[in-house]
Formats: sequence, C-alpha cells, structure tokens
Amino acid sequence: MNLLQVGNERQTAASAARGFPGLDWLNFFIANFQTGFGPFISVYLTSAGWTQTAIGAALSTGTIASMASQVPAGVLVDAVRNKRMAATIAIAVIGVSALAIALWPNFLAISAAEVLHSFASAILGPAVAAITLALVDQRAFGERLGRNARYAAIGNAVAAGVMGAFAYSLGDRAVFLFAATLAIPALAAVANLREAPSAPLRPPPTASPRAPARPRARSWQFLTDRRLIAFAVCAVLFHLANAAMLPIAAAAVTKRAGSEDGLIIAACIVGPQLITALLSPWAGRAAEAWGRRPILLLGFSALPIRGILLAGIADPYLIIVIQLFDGLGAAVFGVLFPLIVADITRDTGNYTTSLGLVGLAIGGGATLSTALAGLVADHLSVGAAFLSLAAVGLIATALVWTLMPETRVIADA
Amino acid sequence: MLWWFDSVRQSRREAAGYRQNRWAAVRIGGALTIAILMTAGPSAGQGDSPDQGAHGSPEAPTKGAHLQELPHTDLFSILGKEVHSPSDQAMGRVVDLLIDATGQPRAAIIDFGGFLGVGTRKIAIDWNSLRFDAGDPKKAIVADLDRNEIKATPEYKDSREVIAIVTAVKPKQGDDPDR
Repeated sequence: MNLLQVGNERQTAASAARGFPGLDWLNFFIANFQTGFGPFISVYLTSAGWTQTAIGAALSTGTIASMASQVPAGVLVDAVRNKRMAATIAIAVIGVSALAIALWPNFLAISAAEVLHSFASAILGPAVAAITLALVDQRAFGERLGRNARYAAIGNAVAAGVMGAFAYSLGDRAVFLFAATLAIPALAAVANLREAPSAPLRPPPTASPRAPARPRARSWQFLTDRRLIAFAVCAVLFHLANAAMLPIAAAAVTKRAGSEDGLIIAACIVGPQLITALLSPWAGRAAEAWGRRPILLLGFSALPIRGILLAGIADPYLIIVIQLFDGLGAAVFGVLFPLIVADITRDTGNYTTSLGLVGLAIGGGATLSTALAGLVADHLSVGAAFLSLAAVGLIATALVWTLMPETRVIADA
Repeated sequence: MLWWFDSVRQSRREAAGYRQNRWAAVRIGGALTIAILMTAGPSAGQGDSPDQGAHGSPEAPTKGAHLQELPHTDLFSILGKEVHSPSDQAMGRVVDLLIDATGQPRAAIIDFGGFLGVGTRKIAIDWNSLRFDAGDPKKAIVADLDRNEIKATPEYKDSREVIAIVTAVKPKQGDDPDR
C-alpha cells in the first residue's frame, strides 16, 4: 500500500465519517445534559439545606451504582438488538432524573435519581459507541469516533458556560431544569438517526462490523485477551493520574485568585474541551493512519508533563495554559478507548460488555485518584500530590510502551 | 466509600439518642434545620424567655417536654444560605456550624469559591465576624470580610487537629453599634 493510496482511503473514510449529522448532534446534546450531573450537584444540594453527610451519602450511592452498572449495562447493550432504543430509553431516564433532582431535593428522590442516572449513563455511552460502529465503515470508525468526541467536547464546553450563567442568574435549580429540557433535542437526534443516510454507506452484511446481537454461545473467553487486560490496566492508571488534577488545581486557584477565581476555573474547564474538540478528529485519523500505539503514547505522555508543570507553577493564569494538556489527553483517550476496544472485540458480540469492563476500571481509577491525591495534598503538600499524579502518569505511559500491543487491523480492500 | 454509610448510621444513632433524652426543652440544631435565635433588640430574646418558663425556671417541670412558640421572623435556617461580603460579593454557602464545649457557636463553615462545584474550599469563619438580618434575604448573612481576606485560609477538614478560623479584625474604637 503506497502513500497515495493511504491518502485516498483517508479521504473516502473521512467523507464517510462526516455523513452523520445526527450523530454529531446526539453527542453534542448528551454531553450537554450530562454536564450538570458533576460536582455541581453538591452545590445544589447545599443550597437546598442538605448537610455534608447527606450529600456525601447520596453522591456515594451514585458512585457505587455507577461502578456496579458498568458491566451489566454493557452486557445488556450487547444483548439488545435495537441499540437506538437502548439509547432513547437511557436519554429519557436521564432527563427524568434531572427533572426529579430539580423538583424534589429530598434524600429518597435524589438517591433514586443518582442511581437511575448512573445506570442510564452506563447504557448510553456503550450504546452510542455501538450505534457508531454499526453505522460507519470499519475504515471510517476512528475518524467518526473523533467527530463524536469533538461534538461531545463542544457540548461540554457550551454546557459549562450556559449552566454557569444559569446558576449565577437564575439559581441552582435552573441548571437541572435546563439539563432536563436538553433531553428533548437529544431524543430528537436519536430519532433523526433512523433517517440518516446510513444504508448506502453500510458495508455488505457479510463484512458487517455490526456486532451480532446474540452470540450463539456466550463465551467469556475474551476476558483473557491479553490486549484487553493491558488496555484496562493502562486505563486505570490514566484515570488514577488524571482525575484528581483538575479539582486540586482548581482548589489551588480558589486559594490564590481573589474574586476572579470562578472565571479562571471556568477557563480551566472549557479550555481543554476546546483543545479536545480541535484534536479529536485528528486523533481518530492519525490512529487509523499511523496506528493506535503512537497516538496513545502521545496522549498518555501529556499526563506526567501536566503533573510536573502544575507542581512547579502556581500562577492562576498559567494554570489555565497547563490545563490545555488535559485537552490532549482527553482527545486521545476519548477516541482511542472505544476504538481499541472495537479492535479487540470486533465481531465477537462482546463490544459493549468490554466497554463496560474498561469503564469499571476507569471509574475505579478516577475514584481512587481523588481520594489518594487528596490524602497526599493534606498530609504533605499540593505540590507533592501533583508530583505523585505525574509519577502515576509516567508509569501509565511506560505501561503503554511495554504492555500495549498495536491493535489496528489493516482492512484489506 | 463505605465510611459514608457509617457516618450516616452514626448520626442517626446520635439523633435517636437526643430524642430519648427528652429533658432539654429546645435543642438548637437537628440534622437538617439548624435555626438560630435572632437577637434583634438587646432585650427581645432574653426578656421573654424566663417568663415562659423555658430554661430551668422554678415553675418548669423537671422532666418532660415544653412547647415554645416563637414568631417565624425571629428564627431562620442558615444551612445552605449564602454568606455575603460587606460589598455584596457572594462568598459561599454555609455548610456546617462549629460549636464549642459550652454549645456556643464558634464558626460557620462555608463552601467558598469555585465554578459549578469545581475548586470549592471549605473555610471556617468566626461566628462573631458574621452579622445576621432575617429581614433581607440578600443580606441575611454578612461577613465583615471580603473574598481576598479569606481565600488563603487553610481549608477546614474534620480530621485536622488544629482548626483555623478566619476572624475579622474589629475597628479599634469599637464604633460598630451592633457589637
């Protein structure tokens, strides 16, 4: 295969990937309404007069439910033939959860909403990945995942801005009412997918990348796939290094900056999303052209760099710049996570189950990250916490280098 | 993560204990509605209560419950309420209260700063640096401090042995009539 051919193939793959505006909007709106369900819930519950203990209990219920539902949700999406229906129900449930949070801030309703939201989110992510896999040609999959990640990042950035403005001007409850109404355009985007010009682009059934709805005999053999285990280990360490960096950096900004701290932290959140939006399609294309390993190494290596810079630099405005490295890591991970898992489990009927397994690993890594880095920051210093996170990031990068094989399958035309 | 559930159980057990131990007529604080008695005028609060026989007056029964009724405007809940600076900057919401061994409030913990819940820091503000005005919801709680004065205060952590409380430096002449 010569260079010219690669170029041509890339072009056709790119145009094929661009053919689904419905997917663009779907990713945009999903990211949009999911933004409210972050750390903001604790602000909202505080304003509703909740004690810290009660808030912690409700949010921990959500965290535990989220971890517990990753694998079952993945198995469910693998088993369900109609992935769009799964996504539709999940979006509706998340919309109802947001509405319940806005209307009934009592312990039972909030805990139930957290559990429902966790399970629905665990369905929605894999369902969207499976829909994408079914819609586009194998060669266009990386590029298409790049576009998914781009529109998700734009959705996150827009939502952070809009919800910040809502919380400031209309009150905290408005944020969840807004999130609930965003479920409507998201549902419209899923419904619109049905009308997408998917038929002519879909490869013939014999070479279908669509995962079979029900494998003849359910085998858990794929669990012992060395590549899947290696990727899960790398994913744990990535999030162990990554998840605590923004919260600790943001708390440091609050400590040093005066009244403008809110704006600086907003920039620390939105800035990386813009970088992710810029880089994701490139990450998808590059992963198809050069392979997964080099791109993965690039994204992982942003972690130790960011940790060391955050440990050494205290100026709040420079923290905004350092945070841009977060965008590189997020772009690479956001695209390569569904791509590599697809490489490994394509045509086995275990795609979303495997996504759920790696999702569980990611959740564990992220939860441990904030807990451990918080301990280091308390007992030693914030700088030590960043250096520890950088060290974990370095180990993660080294593991990608040593453990992670290239998973790209060269599709023969 | 399971420690949360332990602490919930713990606080439930404590709440149950309070309920059984009924001789206190009115308790300040409960799990969710912490109310403070407004001392709007120097005599209003203190003058009335002995007549009603609430706290250990000779007529009061030695055991059992007694019902006090106070106007709604005299009491207000502060958990989750925004604390403002004198220049009307929002500082953060009250998330907890610290009391000393005699049961007197010493500090309010506020959730300070951040954006959409990211980057907030819990800071303890001296109770005497706070002013209350139930009549004006915008200025219900005002601290005699501004954001720059409290931002670098060490974060409040339940586990710390030393708790740092930020206090407003009072004017030298004591010309604040409210104090």
